[in-house]
Amino acid sequence: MTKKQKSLITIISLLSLILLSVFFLNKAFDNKESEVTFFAMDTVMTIKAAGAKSESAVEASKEAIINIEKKLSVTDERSIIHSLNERKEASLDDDLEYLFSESEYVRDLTGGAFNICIYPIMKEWGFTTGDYNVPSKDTLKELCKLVAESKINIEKQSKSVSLSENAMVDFGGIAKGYATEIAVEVLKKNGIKRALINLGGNVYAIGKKADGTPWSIAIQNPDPSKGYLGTIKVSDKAVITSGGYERYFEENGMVYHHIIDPFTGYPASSGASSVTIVSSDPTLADALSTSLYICGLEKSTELWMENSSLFDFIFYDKDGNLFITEGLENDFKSDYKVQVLKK
Amino acid sequence: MTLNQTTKSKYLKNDLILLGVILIISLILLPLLNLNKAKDGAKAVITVDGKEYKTISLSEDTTFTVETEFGTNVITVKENEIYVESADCPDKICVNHSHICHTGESIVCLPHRMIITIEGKEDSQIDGISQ
Repeated sequence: MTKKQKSLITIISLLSLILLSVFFLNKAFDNKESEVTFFAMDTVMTIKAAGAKSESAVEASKEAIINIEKKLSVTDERSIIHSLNERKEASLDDDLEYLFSESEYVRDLTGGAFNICIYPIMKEWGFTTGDYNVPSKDTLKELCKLVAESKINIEKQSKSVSLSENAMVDFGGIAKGYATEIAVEVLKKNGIKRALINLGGNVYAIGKKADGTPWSIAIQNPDPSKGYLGTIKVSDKAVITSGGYERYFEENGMVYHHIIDPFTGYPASSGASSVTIVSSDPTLADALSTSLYICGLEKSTELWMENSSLFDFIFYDKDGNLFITEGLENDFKSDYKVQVLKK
Repeated sequence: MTLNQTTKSKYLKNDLILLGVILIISLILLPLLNLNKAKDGAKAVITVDGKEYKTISLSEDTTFTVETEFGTNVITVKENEIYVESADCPDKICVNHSHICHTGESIVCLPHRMIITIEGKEDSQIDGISQ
């Protein structure tokens, strides 16, 4: 071998080494994982993402969520919703316009079980402030009438909204779902193909895990001394659960939970213990989880039969029966006996 | 020096350069490898306002106080479980929370921005909990 050949070999090996390392470096950056945990909307939020720009992506989605919270908070005096509830009119931006129209859609879909005008009742119970109190029967009767008669008037031309007399709105039943939607959008815009968003128990999984399998999401058992209700395998879907166990208070030996039936003014007692919605639309999933809890199994099943392309659900009743809709049959595992609802 | 020796030492020099380059590249790549730290036994990570406050093994029984600008929580580890024994927060949700021990489980004290999360010895089968 000549000297020339030798040095040629050396150069080639060096070049291939450099190429190889560049390849691995790229690979490592592509899989760079970033995580952010923060407090917003009265809960803990965690966003985990993998990708070259994961660090700036999770920060940007955190900022976007905090931005949404600033607009929607019913207690923050600087929020648009606070000022709308005080003055009965406000101007609309794209976020609010979307939320009002989506809320109206779900209200109609659920026959009024979902209603953002429920705020005066929630306020009376103290669920928005933590200053709990059981309202009198007469007060609730009056407030239910107010909620039923509340009107929201959207002016698309002038981008403004007005409320009927004494009406008040609260996006509490849909805000975390919408925040999820925004976070997903921001992450995807930053090139993220794999992420797990958990906004206080509202979970959304983007793509698949590093090993190429779907994400495994456990469903909380309302009885904390027992194991999970089961696990569901998902990809690009929201898994959102509502249960009376999330927020409640006790007075004179009675337990009052935070999911209020807008028709009675009292905590919903339709026989549900927890309801989980699985859907590719997190905003819809959030709104439906509370409203199906209010509706009960029979109505929920009817609703699903007419809209099975939009969502699936897991319904755990007070007697310990576990129902799932057939779309989840292959992806849901549980130690409990599972009854599959079919169309 | 004979001609043979000169070539030999030249090769040795080239070999050394190559070795050096490989070494430098490996050193650059080293931190990028996802070196999973060996986890011996389940442990609990306590964070306050998103920052790590303390990590504690669940195999040793103990009681300690987390005192921050947000408030005070007394935390106990007993028989491989961890729980909040007492706290000066208004809602006491953390105190009423059941004891936790499984990987991925957590206790949150919202008013004090404190979170206790269990990290396990092996990777959990569960990626998230819907609640």
